[in-house]
Amino acid sequence: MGLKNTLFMNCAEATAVVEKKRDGKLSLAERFGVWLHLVYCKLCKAFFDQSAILDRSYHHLAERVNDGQQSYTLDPSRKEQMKNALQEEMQK
Amino acid sequence: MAEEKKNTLDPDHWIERYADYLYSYAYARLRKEEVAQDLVQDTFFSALRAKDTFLQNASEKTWLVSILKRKIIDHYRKKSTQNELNILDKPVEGEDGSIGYFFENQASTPGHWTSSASPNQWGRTFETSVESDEFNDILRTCLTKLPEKTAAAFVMKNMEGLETEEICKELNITQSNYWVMMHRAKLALRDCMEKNWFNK
Repeated sequence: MGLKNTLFMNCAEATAVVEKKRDGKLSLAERFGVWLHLVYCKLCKAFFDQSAILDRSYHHLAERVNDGQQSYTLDPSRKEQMKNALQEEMQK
Repeated sequence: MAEEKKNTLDPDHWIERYADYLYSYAYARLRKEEVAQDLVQDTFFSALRAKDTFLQNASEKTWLVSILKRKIIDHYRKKSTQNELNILDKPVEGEDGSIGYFFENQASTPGHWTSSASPNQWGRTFETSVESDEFNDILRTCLTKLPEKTAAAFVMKNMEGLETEEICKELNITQSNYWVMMHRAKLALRDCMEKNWFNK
């Protein structure tokens, strides 16, 4: 992308660097370009805000699973099968 | 000073104590039920074989989780070397289609949001959503719609908390590839969560 295109980004280009921005790796020109685009583009502003909400949501899901708040149950027959396989392995 | 608590391993009770927990851990991070089941079983087997390496000041559960965690990352890595040539993975399937579903490509308005995929203001907030079981189920379901490698990068970043450099090394991709994949991931997840939760 040339400098002119970096300073004046379209929506596809501005949103494409969402994660690069999060990693703090934008060039000075990109930083300005994204900032400028978000000043006048409500759609991309929403995208960036919602993207951050998604990051928090998935992080929170992982924590819920770690704390046992969110759990999924293993199929009982599969569990039984696992138990037998493990017993067998232990006797080896 | 409190006496140090010694932990021991008790494989006879592993399944009843930890199988569901480990399964939940894997299931939330993977697309397929069967893969999650297989990795849990592999974890128990590996743990049994490696039981001499268990440190007695660790908890049995934490130790098993650490083995599973490594297995999940190895699974992603294997998947990613299988389609090494296909750097950007397959496009997202269905209505969440390729990049053309999200952005116009005609000459008059190149790179503008399409009307079907442009972001709307959300009707619900993070705070009113996070404790809902349904919300968390939908998060997982939306994740399963991503291409394998894209989902792997997203999970490693946001659920495992790995640094971008580590993720790129594990998945054998450049940082530019990674940013492109995460862009696709976010476009698809945002769209999926908006339609199935935030503005449903």
